[in-house]
Amino acid sequence: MEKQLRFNEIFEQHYPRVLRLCTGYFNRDTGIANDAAQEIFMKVWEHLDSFRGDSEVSTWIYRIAVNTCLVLLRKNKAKKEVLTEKIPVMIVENDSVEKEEKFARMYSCIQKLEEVNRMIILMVLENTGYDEIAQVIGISEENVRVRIHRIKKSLTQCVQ
Amino acid sequence: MCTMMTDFNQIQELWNSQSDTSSSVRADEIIQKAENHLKKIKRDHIVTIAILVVVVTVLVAYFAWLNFSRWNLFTTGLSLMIGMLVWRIILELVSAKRFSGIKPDSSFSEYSEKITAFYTWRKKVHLVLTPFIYLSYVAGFVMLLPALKANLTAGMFWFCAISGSGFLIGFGIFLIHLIRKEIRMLDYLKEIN
Repeated sequence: MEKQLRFNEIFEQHYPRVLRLCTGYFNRDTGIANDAAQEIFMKVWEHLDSFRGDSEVSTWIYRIAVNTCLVLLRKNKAKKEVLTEKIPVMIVENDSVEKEEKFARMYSCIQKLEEVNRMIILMVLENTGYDEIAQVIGISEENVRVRIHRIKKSLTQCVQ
Repeated sequence: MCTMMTDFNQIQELWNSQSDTSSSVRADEIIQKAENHLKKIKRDHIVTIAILVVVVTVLVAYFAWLNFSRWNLFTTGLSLMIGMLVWRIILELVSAKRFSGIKPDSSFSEYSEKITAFYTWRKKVHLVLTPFIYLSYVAGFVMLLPALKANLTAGMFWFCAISGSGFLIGFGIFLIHLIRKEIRMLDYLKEIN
């Protein structure tokens, strides 16, 4: 029961962020993103007992999310589909055609990044700290800083 | 023509302006799915081990009953087929154990390294052991045919020969499909690393 309460709390707090991350990773394909987010939280439930609190819960969840998305991208053959097929448009409140064009361009540019860089920038957009990203990816904070600088530059040039 | 986004802050603002991606899924539904998934893994594991134990027991009992004195082509073929089946099941159990040892909450670099190592191992298994097991299984089946021909009616013999061959061809195609799929996964992981 205690585990369930803990899971509910984690779910409420982190599910929307994870779903946004997956939606970005799978280029607004909400079907795959929903499946991915559910699979991530199934793993969260399955491994919750082994979480010792060595890191923040969000870091732990992001690790599961990044690793799960990596494998799912290949398993679903989503890589090919996401990059070549027309992507269903997500409903954006109060959006104009211009804003939708901007969204389309932003997501298209995110898709052009390498898989790891894509995950890194999505975490940046979700306001994740550099130290946390370093722990999720397993590289030094300095390395993360340099990579993010390059990704931001390349993304900004792409969307212009 | 839309206005340009000239710095990253504008991209960030655009990202933040998205409405929350809504999902109808509830926490208890996820728990239920996860529990069902865990139960299925346990059940499959138990069934696999049970099949293994039954097959080995029957095989040992059969040869004990034969007292190894009436060893012939038929018994060689049969034991070859069953032996290869047992090897295949053991390999899959080892594989499942290795895969479950890869923790999904490791850092990305550690996880991708381990999962790449896993698929590299699977590739070696597929390219060396799987063809050996498959060909031994086919050889075992061929060894059964003379005994089947001598002891069954012509119709029954051809039924066994054709359906057995069909199964072996189908199984071979399935194995090729599986091997290709796993090699593509390995190539993809190497590309990421």
